[in-house]
Amino acid sequence: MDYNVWENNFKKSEIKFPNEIAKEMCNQLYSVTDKKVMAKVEKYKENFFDMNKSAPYMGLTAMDNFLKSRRIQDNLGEVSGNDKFTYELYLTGVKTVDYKYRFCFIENGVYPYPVKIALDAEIAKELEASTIIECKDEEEYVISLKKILTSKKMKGVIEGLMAINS
Amino acid sequence: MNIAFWNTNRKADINKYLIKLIEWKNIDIMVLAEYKANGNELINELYTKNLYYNLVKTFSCNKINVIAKDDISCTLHDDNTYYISLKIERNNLNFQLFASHLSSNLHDGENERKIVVQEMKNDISKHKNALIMGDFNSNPFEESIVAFSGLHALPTKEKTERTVKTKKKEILYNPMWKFFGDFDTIPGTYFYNNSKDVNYYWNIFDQILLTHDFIKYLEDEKLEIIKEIKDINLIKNKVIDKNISDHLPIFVSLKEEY
Repeated sequence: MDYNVWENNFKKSEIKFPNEIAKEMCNQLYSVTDKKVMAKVEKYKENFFDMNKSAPYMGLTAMDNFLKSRRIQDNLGEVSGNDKFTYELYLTGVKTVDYKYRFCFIENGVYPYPVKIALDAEIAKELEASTIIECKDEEEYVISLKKILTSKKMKGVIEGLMAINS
Repeated sequence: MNIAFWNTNRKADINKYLIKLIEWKNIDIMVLAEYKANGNELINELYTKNLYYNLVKTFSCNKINVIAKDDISCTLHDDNTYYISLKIERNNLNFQLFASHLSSNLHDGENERKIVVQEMKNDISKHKNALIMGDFNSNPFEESIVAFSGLHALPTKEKTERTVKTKKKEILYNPMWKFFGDFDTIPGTYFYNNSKDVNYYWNIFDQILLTHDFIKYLEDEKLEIIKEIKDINLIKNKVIDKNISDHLPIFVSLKEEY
């Protein structure tokens, strides 16, 4: 009896993951700044949103929110903390290699969307956005990331880094 | 090496007090929060007294300013809205200095503040020798300072790490607890009076913390909440003289030879 039920009919998902999109956007900065400033996307060792939930003193709050929401789908079926993928996005200079301005984190589960963005407070203020943004799909995510990368705050830091990396 | 931190409460005329403080306590690194006076004027005034300092340039962080003696190597590493970290080197002393001005829970949401605290703790954990100082807008006993998911800073030199739910994290040492107690002195760096259910009057919002490996460099007995600068009293009518600043400076000394 053949127990293979899969028939090898899997297709690779064509959905771009948030970190891949971020890399594509960030990589442009190197040439735009005449090879002086880089925007990097790197895997981050902590899942910070879940750390909040699992923190001992946050346990009660998490349970409280759960009880308040009374929407079981908010919790059941969610990917657990260890299955989240977190990336840090930061600026650095080619000569100032130890310098790091971390302008945001992105975090998603096994499914790429929704993706959460934890944003630098000053950029959030400038964009009149919350410091934690949730994007439900790629379109929302791309719009948010574009706004972040072209913010005045980012421009100021990039110009400063260009000056000392000349 | 002598290091001081002071939240200067946006006072435009703070430089005259800073010059006295730097000269009197022979401060090598002065870390400032809410500094809105002219940094270049401060450097120039010190220069005329044969005291040679540089202003550390940051690109992102507007909440912290640092001036350091010109024989100290200061390299900016982390440069975020709420904190910076500098690699400090002089003679045999080599460490990472984190300087922070965290917002209060009331200003930002609690979750937003926690993310910043966790981010800073993750950056601290990359260094064996680190000194963390600043206005944390929390007392040493409050959750964001003590909790495993916060800065994880405790008043013990003995415990080095702790495991919660299989995750292991280094414990930072917080020597500021020693300023609590029923002393006939000023038990804090910030005075606040309100009519809420809980009111401490005196708070130790301005703190220094150390990684375990760096404790041996701390000159314990010199750690101080500064209440007067030579002949200038920072206390008036038993509370902080807000004409100067609403916070008191803190002072720490590190051994350069160990």
